[in-house]
Amino acid sequence: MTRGESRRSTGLGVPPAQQRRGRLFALVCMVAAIFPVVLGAALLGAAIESGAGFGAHGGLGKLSSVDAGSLLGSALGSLWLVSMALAIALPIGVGVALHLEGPRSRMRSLLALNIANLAAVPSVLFGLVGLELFVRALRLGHGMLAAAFTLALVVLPIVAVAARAALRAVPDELREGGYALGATPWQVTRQVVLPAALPGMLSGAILAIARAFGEAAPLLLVAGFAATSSPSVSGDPRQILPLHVFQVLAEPDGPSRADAAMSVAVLLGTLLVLAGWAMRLRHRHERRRDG
Amino acid sequence: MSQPGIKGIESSWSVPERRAETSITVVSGDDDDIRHLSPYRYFPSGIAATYDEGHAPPRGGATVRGFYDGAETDRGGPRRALVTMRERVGPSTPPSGGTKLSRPVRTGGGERVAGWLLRLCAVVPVVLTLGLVSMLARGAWTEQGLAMPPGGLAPAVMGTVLIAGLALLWAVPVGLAAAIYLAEFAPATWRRWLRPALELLAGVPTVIYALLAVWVVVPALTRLLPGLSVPRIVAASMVLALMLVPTVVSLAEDALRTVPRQQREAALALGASRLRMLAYVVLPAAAPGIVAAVMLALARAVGETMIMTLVAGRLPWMGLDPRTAVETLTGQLGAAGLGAPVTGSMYTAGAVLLLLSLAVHSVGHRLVRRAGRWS
Amino acid sequence: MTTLVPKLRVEDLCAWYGERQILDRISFDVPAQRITAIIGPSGCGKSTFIRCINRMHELVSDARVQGQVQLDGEDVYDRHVALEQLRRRIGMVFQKANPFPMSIRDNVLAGLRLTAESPVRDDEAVEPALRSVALWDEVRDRLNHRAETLSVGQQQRLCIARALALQPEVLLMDEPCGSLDPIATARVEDLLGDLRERFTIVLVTHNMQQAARVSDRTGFFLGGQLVEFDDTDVIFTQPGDRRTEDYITGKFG
Ligand SMILES: Nc1ncnc2c1ncn2[C@@H]1O[C@H](COP(=O)(O)OP(=O)(O)OP(=O)(O)O)[C@@H](O)[C@H]1O
Ligand SMILES: [Mg+2]
Repeated sequence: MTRGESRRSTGLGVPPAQQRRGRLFALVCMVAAIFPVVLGAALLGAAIESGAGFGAHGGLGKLSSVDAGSLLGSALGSLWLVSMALAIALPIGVGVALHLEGPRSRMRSLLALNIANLAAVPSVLFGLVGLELFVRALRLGHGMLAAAFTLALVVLPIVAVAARAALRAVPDELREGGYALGATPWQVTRQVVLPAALPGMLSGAILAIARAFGEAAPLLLVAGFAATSSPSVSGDPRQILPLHVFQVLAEPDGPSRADAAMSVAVLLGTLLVLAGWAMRLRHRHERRRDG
Repeated sequence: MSQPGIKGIESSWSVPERRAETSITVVSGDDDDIRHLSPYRYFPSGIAATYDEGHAPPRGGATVRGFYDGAETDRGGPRRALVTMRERVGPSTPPSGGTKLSRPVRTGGGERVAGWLLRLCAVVPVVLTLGLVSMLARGAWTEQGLAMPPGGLAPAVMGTVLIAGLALLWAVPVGLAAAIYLAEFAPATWRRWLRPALELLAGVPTVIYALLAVWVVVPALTRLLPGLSVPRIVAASMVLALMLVPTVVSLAEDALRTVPRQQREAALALGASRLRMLAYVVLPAAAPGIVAAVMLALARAVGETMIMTLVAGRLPWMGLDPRTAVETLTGQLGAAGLGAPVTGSMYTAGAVLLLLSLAVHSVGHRLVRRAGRWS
Repeated sequence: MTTLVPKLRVEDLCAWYGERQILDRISFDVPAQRITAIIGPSGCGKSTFIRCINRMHELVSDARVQGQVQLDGEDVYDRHVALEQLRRRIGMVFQKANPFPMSIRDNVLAGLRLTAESPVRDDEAVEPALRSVALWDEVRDRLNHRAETLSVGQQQRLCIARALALQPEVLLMDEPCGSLDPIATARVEDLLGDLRERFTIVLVTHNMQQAARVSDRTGFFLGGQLVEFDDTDVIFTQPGDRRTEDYITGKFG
């Protein structure tokens, strides 16, 4: 900055050059904020269009060729897999978070660090663990069950971290209020802290569900793409939505593009619904707290 | 004032140096005046006393005789009083009279059961960590030593770093500017829509990002630059960047917001423009948090599998220049989805990936925590 | 100095946060069925002191205490003391009203429910508790509304009711009027006058007039030490220590 700028102007107005610079900067920042959203939306739209070919083929486009039965099967497979994984990961994750809430100790801080690190482990690696542990050691085979356990490993740290954040967001005054009434730590946790943290935990859980729905990497290893054996009775994880999309991309003669486009649309729709739900929860919670 | 049994004043100690379990109670005073001392005035200037034997209080306590210097009585000025005290160390006997305070509140067995259940839950992540590490180690180690892919792991590490670095080159400026907009300029309504929209972008499954690259980005680039075959690394880093922007935005915005309002107002009150305030006060203060945002985004990029496997990897039919295929760490693992058998070298790649992403992540994590403490 | 039965006896109480000593050898008796006011400049350790009495101090991770606090002759810091029992017998009201995020009724019953084994449906406790804080008539029609919908002054009285519902023997109040306007303050002071007969009250306050108006005994804290403790009218009319006089007449801080 030159001396001229820093000299105080006599009037109350801002020097025009400075004002212009400030506006330009704000504008650039605004574009930066909007650009990724618009780009993402445009790309997603273009992808679905390119798969479904509404424009080129008119009407329903190539969608008429979509095998609705197999799409439904994929969606149900995904739903089943995610439900199993969450049924395992949610209680344990919340339990871990509650345990971390206890009196501070060296053990607990190490555990917290451990969980933060686990949440950062690339999800493919859990695929290796799942392969070794569930597919091979526990002999679950390349089935839904092994996939569900593996997926549970992936979301467990996420759930724990989110639940912990929700617990810590509960103001200490409430805890102290409980203790001052003569409650034990567990009573305070269960009756004061947990109810207050519930909305936060719920939106954390929803995000974990969304994540589990789209997760594909660890399943590449446990779903048994290399294995020729038929999948186990619990269902074939290779058919779930994200892996379906993966197969379209991986093999030129895999499922049709229109099928993949529909899978993408279903995944995105699920994501939208879940995100909307989480957002409404958060809003309601905030309103209640402010009101 | 010499008294049998007192060897003289050997040590004086003030209350803070005593151990927490130690308490001194006055048992009796030789002087009648002691009883008239108001409680507050017992220890105005510490105690001078000796133990009967040695200096340390013996286990279980000891009887101590000593002086109170400067004790004041109702009848006169400061004087020295001689008292006998019993020092208790450790657990004391419950009071004989009302024992109500020590009667536990009945809470049922739930308390203990819950504690054990929670402890059990807490064991799971530990086991998971140990399992992860031991399996990677066991899988990577063969009779011939560390299992390696034919060309070694160096190309894969290089490829990973290259793509992730290039992606950050796109994502960081955009993400930071967007964060500044959201934290500093955006009207509330815009913010209310933009933030969730960006969060949605972060939630899009990565396999869909890979699909975007293959179906849309590559054809578009080919059309834009006819005659040139698009290097895979460019296409991969572009979609990866789009995926990373929301991560950078949300962490950087948090960092900007933790800068206290008073500091901003102080700068503005000195006549600084918004831009100056940002450059001189807010950004430096938020710097650790912003660096942390970049590190955490980098950790995400390094561990990304779908884009690395499908876009950067060696799939010949995609309309990308096959000569530009890049080896990546996650790509080696993702190959399992392309029908490759799971071999020892995959475990080696996994171990390297784990070390790399944890290293990057812990730098970021520590910075976040530091940034949090700073505010 | 009149002699009164001590309800609480504090002896040589010292407290630390980490390495920093906050309280230095505090000793005095809190008389039963009286209001004892604690005054002193900000940061002198008043809150720390009363948090030591019901052992809330140790909830802070690196906090430490030494010395004795006796409730009816029993050492509160004895190893055998059940914290819950102690805190039920010594109630506490905080500077900032902290109602739980539940209904007004549930807030009053919270103390009973929190510590109960089986579900409490004991609605009978609600009315007397709310009456004793003069809140009953204001909220009787909306007991099921959430506590956050009350005004701050009402919330504070609700918190007092919540503490009273457990029928404690001692009531610790840390600047209960800190965030209240003069009218709400006057209400709480009236309330204190009524409660005085039934409870032993320790009241931390910044407001010297308030201490002079409502309390029987007053202790003046300075820099973690108890400078003077005496009958309130003695403290305010002929303090024995220069520093007390300076503080009361507004000559420092
Ligand atoms: N959680 C804590 N950790 C570390 N130090 C603390 C903590 N709480 C209070 N302190 C310190 O202890 C000292 C006494 O604090 P305390 O809250 O007891 O003062 P106070 O007399 O109640 O002041 P005020 O009238 O402002 O409420 C202060 O210097 C404060 O900085
Ligand atoms: Mg205070």
